[in-house]
Amino acid sequence: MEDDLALEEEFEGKPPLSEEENQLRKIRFEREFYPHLGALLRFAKTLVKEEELAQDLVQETFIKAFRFMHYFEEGTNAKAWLFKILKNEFYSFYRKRSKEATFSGYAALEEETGEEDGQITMHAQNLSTEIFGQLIGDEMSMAINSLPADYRMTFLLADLEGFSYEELAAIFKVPIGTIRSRLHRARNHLKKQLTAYAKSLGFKTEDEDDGL
Amino acid sequence: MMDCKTLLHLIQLYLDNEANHEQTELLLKHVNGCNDCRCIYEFETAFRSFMAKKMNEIPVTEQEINDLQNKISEQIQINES
Ligand SMILES: [Zn+2]
Repeated sequence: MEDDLALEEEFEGKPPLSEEENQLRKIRFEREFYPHLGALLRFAKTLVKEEELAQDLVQETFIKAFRFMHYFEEGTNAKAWLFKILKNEFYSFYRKRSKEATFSGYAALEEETGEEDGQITMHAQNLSTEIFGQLIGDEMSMAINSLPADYRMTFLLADLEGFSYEELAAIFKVPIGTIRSRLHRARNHLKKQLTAYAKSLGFKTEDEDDGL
Repeated sequence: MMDCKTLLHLIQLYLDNEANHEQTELLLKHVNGCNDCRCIYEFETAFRSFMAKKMNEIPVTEQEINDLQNKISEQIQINES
């Protein structure tokens, strides 16, 4: 978000591009960025439930990418750059809709970390992986949506897009340790949520089955 | 032998493709000799692949991608003029 403002400011006062420069910019834009459109759209659809909103986020991302393209260093990671813009779009959207529930989950997630580390895993582990397999996409997307925005973004960028800790640290401008702890907390939260869903659907955990 | 608590941390690193060679060796060695950690390791692996599978089920069609691409190109054109 502050990136965005900084970019805007820097952009002001730049001389307009010539017709030829502009044509080149368009060609480069299409070649470098359009191949990632599908990945961004899938990501956005996982990030927000409303399909229209997902499309809007991606559209805004690409329009910004075009506007600020002279900041993109050719040969560097175009996909990471696009995701960085998407992250900002997502945040600014939630700022506009402030007091949205999405930002209010932090306290709960911080508390969860007080729990013994292995405990959550053990707990989830009691549900056989087959049961997880029977949970449907809806439950998973509910669980993902119950994560606070930062955690959700970080988790999805890591697990859906395969970004490294280092790339994520650059995208969020935070230390690698922060990325690691966000991922850790996000995964623990998901395990707990999914375990709870499975139980509410009447699946028995293994420990109930055979008294382990 | 490394303690099991450290191993939990290593499992995450390893599954995130962030473990170095030495850490990977330590992990595999421990997992082979420790039943508890092997179970956790197997669960974590299955959990990740379950999540990945579910997330990839979200449909994005070629049509959708093309439509959006056209919309973006149009919008850029409008912004320019
Ligand atoms: Zn162990």
